[in-house]
Amino acid sequence: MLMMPTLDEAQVAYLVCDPELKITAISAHAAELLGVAPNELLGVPITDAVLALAMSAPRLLEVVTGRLTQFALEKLNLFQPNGETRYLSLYALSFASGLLVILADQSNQMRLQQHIQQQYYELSLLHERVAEQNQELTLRSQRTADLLALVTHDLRSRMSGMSSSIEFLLEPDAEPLCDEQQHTLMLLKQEVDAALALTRQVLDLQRLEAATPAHRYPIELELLVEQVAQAFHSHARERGVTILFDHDGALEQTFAPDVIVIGDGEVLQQAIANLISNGIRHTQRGSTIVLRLTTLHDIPILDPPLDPTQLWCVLDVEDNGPGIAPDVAQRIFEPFSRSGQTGLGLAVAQKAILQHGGRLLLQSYPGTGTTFRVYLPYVPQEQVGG
Amino acid sequence: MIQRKVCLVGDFAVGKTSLFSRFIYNKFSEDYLTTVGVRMQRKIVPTRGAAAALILWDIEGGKDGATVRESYLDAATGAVVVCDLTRLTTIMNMKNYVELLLRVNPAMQIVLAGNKLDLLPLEHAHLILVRRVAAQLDQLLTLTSASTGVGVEDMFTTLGERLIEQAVQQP
Ligand SMILES: Nc1nc2c(ncn2[C@@H]2O[C@H](COP(=O)(O)OP(=O)(O)OP(=O)(O)O)[C@@H](O)[C@H]2O)c(=O)[nH]1
Ligand SMILES: [Mg+2]
Repeated sequence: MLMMPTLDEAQVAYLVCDPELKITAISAHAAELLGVAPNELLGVPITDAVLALAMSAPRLLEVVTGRLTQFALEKLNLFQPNGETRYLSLYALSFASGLLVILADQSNQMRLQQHIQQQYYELSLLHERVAEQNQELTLRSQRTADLLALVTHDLRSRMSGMSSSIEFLLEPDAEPLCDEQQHTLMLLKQEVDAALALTRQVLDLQRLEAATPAHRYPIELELLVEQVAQAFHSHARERGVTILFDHDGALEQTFAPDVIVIGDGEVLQQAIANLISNGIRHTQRGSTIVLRLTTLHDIPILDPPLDPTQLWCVLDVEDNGPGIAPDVAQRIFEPFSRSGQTGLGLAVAQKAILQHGGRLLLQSYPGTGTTFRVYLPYVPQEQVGG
Repeated sequence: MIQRKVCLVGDFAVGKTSLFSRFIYNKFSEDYLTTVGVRMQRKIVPTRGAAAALILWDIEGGKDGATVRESYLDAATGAVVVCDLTRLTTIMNMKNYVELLLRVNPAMQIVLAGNKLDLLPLEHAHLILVRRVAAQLDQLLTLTSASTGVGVEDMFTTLGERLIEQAVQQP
């Protein structure tokens, strides 16, 4: 028992047991931790004295015989009369022909750990709940979207029926109509066609909800932009608006960086068409719309950032119209945000660009015009092998 | 009187401590105070035959898979695997706890507790699910609420009876 004075001096809490696990010695500190008087436990089997060990006699005897080097029970919670929890760890080692049981008071450490674990679990619960609600919402919005698509399809086919019927009535060899009737029918047809266009845009918008384009193939962006601009040529002339191409800042009739974008040509075409048509609609007679395609050497810092491992090109659709007021500009890409039009064109354009991994930004100051800037990741022509 | 060690295990915040407190002290608190380590208490359960003394071990919960310090399970012959009926992951995770318990002691008497029954409407999808999980694991399921006390006493009595039966068969 040479070791005992040293343990006592070091204020270690311990119990000593004989080979039958009866307690033969107990330090003052151990008695205090267990909440008993030191003499009270002498001669009592440790399996009766310590509830945590009540069923563990076989294990402890394995330690006594040396078959097991140690038996440990950590972080035992003991409730104090003052309501606090005391955390004890218990280590049983073979000693002389019996057992040495060491008790370590880890309350300070464990209270801190309890605190941290509490925060962590509460956060985890919150996180679980948010994730659950998120799932629920996604499901609900999916159902709404499905319903919308269904209704829009139905409306669309009914309205194209109406439009053809009106056309039929307006045909030269149809029954003659009075001027007023003809005028009313023409107005009606205009309205129906506008509504038809709206249903098409709604369906476009829906299709663009997918994370990536439905088709992916190499597109020569310059060619695509030219084609779209060509298609607007007569419409622009009617409104007295000029469309110009600008290559790398020098106004030219053609511009040709060998920019290949991978994606869905029809979708991109629609997006660019919507930007140009928006420009034509919101500028006065005599205005100019400049299309400028450039490749970027320095990648600008955007929020969220553009992927710096990609090559980026920029298509500007710039007009010198009246510009857009800041409060309108803020909501410009939301469906139906701009008065006097069907209101989905810019939303469609933005979704299309996003779907292609790009970004659509607006720069506009009242009185100085508007620029829609499209960032798209591209691959150089030689990489596509054309 | 036979004395048996019974462990309460399961994911964090499923209500192990609450079941323990309801059974031992007939008390319940809405507040969540996570358990670090383990605490134990002895209680005598009167069963049809003899009485049995259960030493209940309320063990700290696991997160991401069944994690129970194996020394806590030493000498345990009974266990309650608890899940929170409102949280799907805790229901699915019971399987891992059952497997762990049977690895430690193949003769372990296990009861599954679907807890927080008071928070679910009758015939919630999770109730159907938890019954299927129990059937798959081939373990007894009890539905409990530590909050109202429903099922708690019965669950421990059933477990006590099983432990006595086991003791009679193999003393
Ligand atoms: N409504 C309701 N709440 C319960 C029930 N059981 C437990 N709770 C609540 O659930 C939360 C967690 O309960 P605890 O008993 O601390 O859970 P635990 O399994 O011991 O958690 P850990 O110690 O972290 O593993 C507490 O806020 C309890 O009040 C129940 O049956 N019904
Ligand atoms: Mg607990």
